[in-house]
Amino acid sequence: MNEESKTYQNIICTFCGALCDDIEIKVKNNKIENIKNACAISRKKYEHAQKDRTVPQIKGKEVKYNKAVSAAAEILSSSRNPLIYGLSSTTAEAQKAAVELAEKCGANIDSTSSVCHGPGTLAKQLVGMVSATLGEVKNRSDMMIFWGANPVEAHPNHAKRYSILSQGMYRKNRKDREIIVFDVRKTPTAKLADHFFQVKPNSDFEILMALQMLVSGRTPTSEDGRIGGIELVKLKDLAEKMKKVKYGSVFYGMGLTMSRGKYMNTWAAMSLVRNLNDYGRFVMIPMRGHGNVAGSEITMAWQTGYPFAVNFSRNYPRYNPGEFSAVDLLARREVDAAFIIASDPAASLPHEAAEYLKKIPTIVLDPHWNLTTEIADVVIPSAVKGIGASGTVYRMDHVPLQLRKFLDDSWPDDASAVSRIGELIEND
Amino acid sequence: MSKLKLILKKDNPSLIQPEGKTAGKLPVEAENISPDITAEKTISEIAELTLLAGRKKYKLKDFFKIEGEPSQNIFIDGELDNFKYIGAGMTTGEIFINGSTGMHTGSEMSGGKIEVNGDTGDWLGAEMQGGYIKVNGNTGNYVGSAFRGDKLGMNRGVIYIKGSAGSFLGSRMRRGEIIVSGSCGDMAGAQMVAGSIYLFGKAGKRTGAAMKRGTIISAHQLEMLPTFNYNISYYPEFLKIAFAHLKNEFKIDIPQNMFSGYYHRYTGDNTEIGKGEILIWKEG
Ligand code: SF4
Repeated sequence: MNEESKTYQNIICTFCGALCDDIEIKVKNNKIENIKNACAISRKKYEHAQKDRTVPQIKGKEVKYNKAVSAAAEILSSSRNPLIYGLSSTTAEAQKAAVELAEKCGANIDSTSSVCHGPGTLAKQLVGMVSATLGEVKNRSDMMIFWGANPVEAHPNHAKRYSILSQGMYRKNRKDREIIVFDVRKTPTAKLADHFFQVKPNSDFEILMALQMLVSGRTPTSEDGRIGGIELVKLKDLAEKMKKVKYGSVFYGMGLTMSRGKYMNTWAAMSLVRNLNDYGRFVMIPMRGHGNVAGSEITMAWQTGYPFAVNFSRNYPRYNPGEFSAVDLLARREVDAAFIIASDPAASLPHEAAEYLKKIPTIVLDPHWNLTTEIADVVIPSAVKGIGASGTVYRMDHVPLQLRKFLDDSWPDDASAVSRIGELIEND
Repeated sequence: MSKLKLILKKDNPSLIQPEGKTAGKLPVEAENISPDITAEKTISEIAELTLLAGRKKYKLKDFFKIEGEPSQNIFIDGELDNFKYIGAGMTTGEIFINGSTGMHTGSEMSGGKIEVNGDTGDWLGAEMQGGYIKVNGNTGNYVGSAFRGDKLGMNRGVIYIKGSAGSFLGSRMRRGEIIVSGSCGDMAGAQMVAGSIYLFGKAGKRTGAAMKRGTIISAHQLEMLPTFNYNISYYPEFLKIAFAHLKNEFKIDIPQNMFSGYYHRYTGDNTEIGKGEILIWKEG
């Protein structure tokens, strides 16, 4: 059992939407020995990745893998209105299988996107989004605006690899870029910025609308000379600067998408960016959290025409966030079974929604124990993607990347588990 | 006048009962409950009409006790808060619901009347083309608005809500009138293209955001967006005519003090064409 250690180059870290693809991993005896280039978050996650692994379970009792899979198929095929939820931390292949499964059992299918960047996607449907790849932004952008996003803490390698501190072709270093941060508090990212604008909580919309007017040369109304806590004169200066830059970029986070106003905030930002393209180039990129949450939207859109919150009860896809989104379906108690794929709604959804999961048959497919596996009727283990399983994931700028496995895993991956359940239902 | 009576059975197939106890209710899609459909059918045909609970098809008689005779006049009794699309697309006739209804009630209707003696879900009268909806309780978000992906919301018709309404009231509406006696949420009249919204209760933030044209009348002070301009303070004479029309034709209660005093007029949204107006009532 003592083999030579082997080094894998250019491994993709899947622990946040930045999907750094330059990780170097040394493996010996099917264990990680050393990790290079990973950020602190990633290092910790890699360390924990092989711990706390799930085993197949039905009602708390360990069973054979196949038994758990057929129990899941039984629950879904007898359900009259099932919910399939999660998807953001799995591969595009598993997401595709999940959509197929949803179609087979007339389910509602939704990803965690509906509680993080979903509002941004709704906005995109209203105005469209001017976007670019991170590579282009790194090489060309001379003004970077971070709005309600804090990559220094949430995507630690982002600044170095793609944005603030990166070495681009035409923008060589920090000095070649102007960094602007809009946030409700002075975050570590704000400390790296040239200008920090402190937003009064929940007034992003007002500021963005005012900026739209300022860019078009008109003055917004303000009684005290401030808008959303920021001096109007300062916003005016910024608007002028925005018009002069060659290539501006806006990275937006949940500070924008989840504050009061939700999709209208991002809508206002997208409209502003659209208008700024009359002067120079301006683009927007969402700072996605989970490894493949961007992929969940892309896969779902390519399979059903819609990015999340899709319903198949009439055998054709219908889309309506608020009606078919998981949080709302659970809060209104409208589903009678749930299949959770690679996510932890008991920890992340509002209490009442999570509470309802306890009452209905719930299946969890996840490599690790979490709060939801605790309340699940059926637990199906799976290989950890990017470590013990390969597949496709999408970066926050929608660039697809191919994962490679470098450890052997005792369980099949998500995609094969979901497809297997689908086959069982079909042959029923 | 003849009437068709539908009485919701206590024990109906929409109940979710995992271990014998009711945990929740499946959504029921009930677009077949519409005067256009029931008037043309016999009682036994009405009993066979399809209702979809989750993904399973059921018959109307599985849910309701049916009384009376086929008619354009439907009376429904029961808590139907999980029933969607009641009266959706109807062109004539009347539905009275003694209880609450779910989403999409009266959406895309083009004539007739719906009265809900209770609350309703989201998308009430969304994209309606005509007719009258009255809600005696509260309602959800997106009243009279456009469905996702569509450009225009309600186009003619009147919606009267005696209780309160949620967010995005009348968003992207094209024509018609919405009256809310209670409070309403954020973004009332967002992106509206034309039409009138009367807010007799307090409104949330960002009323009229990105509106193009149309009129919003508010009995209370609003937190105005920076993209609106103050114009003038006056009593708009047309309001007297508008109020009289709502009062006489639709029996809508107009707060007496709004007939006098004066109104602050704002125009916007200036990020759009800026032809929308917001009138805020002030004591005389
Ligand atoms: S920034 Fe994100 S993708 Fe990159 S190493 Fe850290 S956790 Fe992984």
